[in-house]
Amino acid sequence: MSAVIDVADLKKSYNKNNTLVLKGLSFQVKKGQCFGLLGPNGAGKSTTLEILQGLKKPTSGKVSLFGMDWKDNEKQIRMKIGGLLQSNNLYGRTKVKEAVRLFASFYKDPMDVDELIERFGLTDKANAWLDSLSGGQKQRVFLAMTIVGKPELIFLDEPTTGLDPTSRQSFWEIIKSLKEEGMTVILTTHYMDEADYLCDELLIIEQGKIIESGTPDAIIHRTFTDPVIREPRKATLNDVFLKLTGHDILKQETSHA
Amino acid sequence: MPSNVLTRKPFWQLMLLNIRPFFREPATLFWTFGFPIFMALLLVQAFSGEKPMAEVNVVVIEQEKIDADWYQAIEKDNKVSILNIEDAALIARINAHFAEPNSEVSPGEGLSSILSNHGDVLILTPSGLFSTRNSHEQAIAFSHVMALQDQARKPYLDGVIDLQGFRYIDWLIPGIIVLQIIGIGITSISNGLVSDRQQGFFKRLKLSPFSRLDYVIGIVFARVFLLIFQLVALFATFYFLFGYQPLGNWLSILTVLLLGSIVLCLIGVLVGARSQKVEVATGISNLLYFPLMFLSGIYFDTSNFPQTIQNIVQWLPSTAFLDAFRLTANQGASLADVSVQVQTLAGFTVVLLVMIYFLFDWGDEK
Repeated sequence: MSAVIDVADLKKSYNKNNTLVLKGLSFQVKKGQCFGLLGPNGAGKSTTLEILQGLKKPTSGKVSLFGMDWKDNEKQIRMKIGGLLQSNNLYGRTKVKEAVRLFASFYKDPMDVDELIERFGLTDKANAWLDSLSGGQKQRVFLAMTIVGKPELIFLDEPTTGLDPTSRQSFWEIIKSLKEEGMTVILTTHYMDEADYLCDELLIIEQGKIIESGTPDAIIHRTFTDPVIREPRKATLNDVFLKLTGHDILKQETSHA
Repeated sequence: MPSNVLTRKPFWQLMLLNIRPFFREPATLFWTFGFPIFMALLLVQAFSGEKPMAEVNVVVIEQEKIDADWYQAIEKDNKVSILNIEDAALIARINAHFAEPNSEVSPGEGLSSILSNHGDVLILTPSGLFSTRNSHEQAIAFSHVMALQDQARKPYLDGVIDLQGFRYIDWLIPGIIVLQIIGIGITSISNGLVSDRQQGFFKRLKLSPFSRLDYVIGIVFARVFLLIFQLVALFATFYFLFGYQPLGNWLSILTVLLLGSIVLCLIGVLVGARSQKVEVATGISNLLYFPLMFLSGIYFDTSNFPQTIQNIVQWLPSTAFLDAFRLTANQGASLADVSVQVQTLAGFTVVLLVMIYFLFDWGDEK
């Protein structure tokens, strides 16, 4: 599979202090993969994601998407990507259909808005105002806005935070189906079960450095050598996270919420 | 289909996004449309001075020394009550007060105690007519009594002179309309823009291949569209309540209104271009609103201002807008007649667009 994202020695520091928040990250994301970025709060996940999405500039290093860099090919790259932010807002008195149609208007060849709404199970809510929707429904609308331009690559920043288990499950199924259609997905999450279920490959970052990467199975195998624990996978990604970072993911979720 | 083509344009969708909340939120609808009309009516009522005149009390001092024709006209007028003062001591005190014919008399100064038994009055002395309070009612009464002097000297003419377009209210109404546009253009747009920035809407937009010019066009056109509704409501209200009717060509009037509204809306975009907080945008809007309100000739003719001030205020966009609007609406001027003002507004449009392009903070990392 060809690399959709190629990052080499990515460094980032903010002007306030010259401390590096990203200390030379290098990784590749292959076409059609679901790639998870994990790490405790402040590890540099969101900064990495924002640099990849062209919202922030790297201090040094190379970032290329589809073999193009942001500086010279912003418009071409924007046509091929979609992004779901951690917090998404639009005027509450906007209808579902209107919100999706707004974002469809930014693309040359967008998906059919009605079909997309139907696919996301929002047909009966098509004319409902955004502020009348549940958290899960709202997040599905924002995901519809993200993919309406037929992107090849989407970035999902903690997409299921705050959703109830049923909504999370239904959101996962949508992401799975997008992946099956060949879309490349970059995901940050605090839920290890989500990363385990969706991601083909993971990158665990702490204090701006990669501390582990690979498939969920490979990471568990490397982290736990005791065959009783690793076969047949009694250890979970949550255990991996705790062992590698020293942070309890459940506490992370609580403090994040 | 052309309509389908239009609905797929980003500026059109961004425009609709900014228009819809006004029609879906009853409170927003009232404060956007209802309240400005109420305010406009209040302002017109407060400043027009065309309300029924109350009865005038005129205290006459030394009637024998006053122009007899004038005195007779005053005496005959059923709106004027004459109070003759007989008290010699009081007459002496009042005369002493007006000893210098050209001295300025501060309203109420000393006279209030002298005339405390006579209520709200004008004073007619051999030196002239004086008001005792600096009030709007006294100014109207003063004009009425002075007019009686003119009428006493000139024969009455039969017939009616149509003053439409030349009444103070005709002069005032375009000013009040421009004031509404200044308020909506500057304050409403800048606050909406800062709110979008605070809620992360720009960040969301930036993830898409949207054009920044589309956003600016969308937000400006949305306000201009809302202004059309508001102007229709204002024109209708002024027509039915005050008989106000623009005399000029509607196409010229609408062109001037459109151009002026765009300029004032772009000022609003510029105000919100860098503000990170609504409070800051509101402060800057107020800083602009009040000078524009007082210096553009909304309430007072700018030709009464000192020449230095006139030289400055003629270059204000609101002055050019209001002058062009008054000339086209009240005097039937064509667009060619107001070409200087139109060119000034067009120049402002270009300058503001350039400034917005360079100064607008989309949250890009420098």
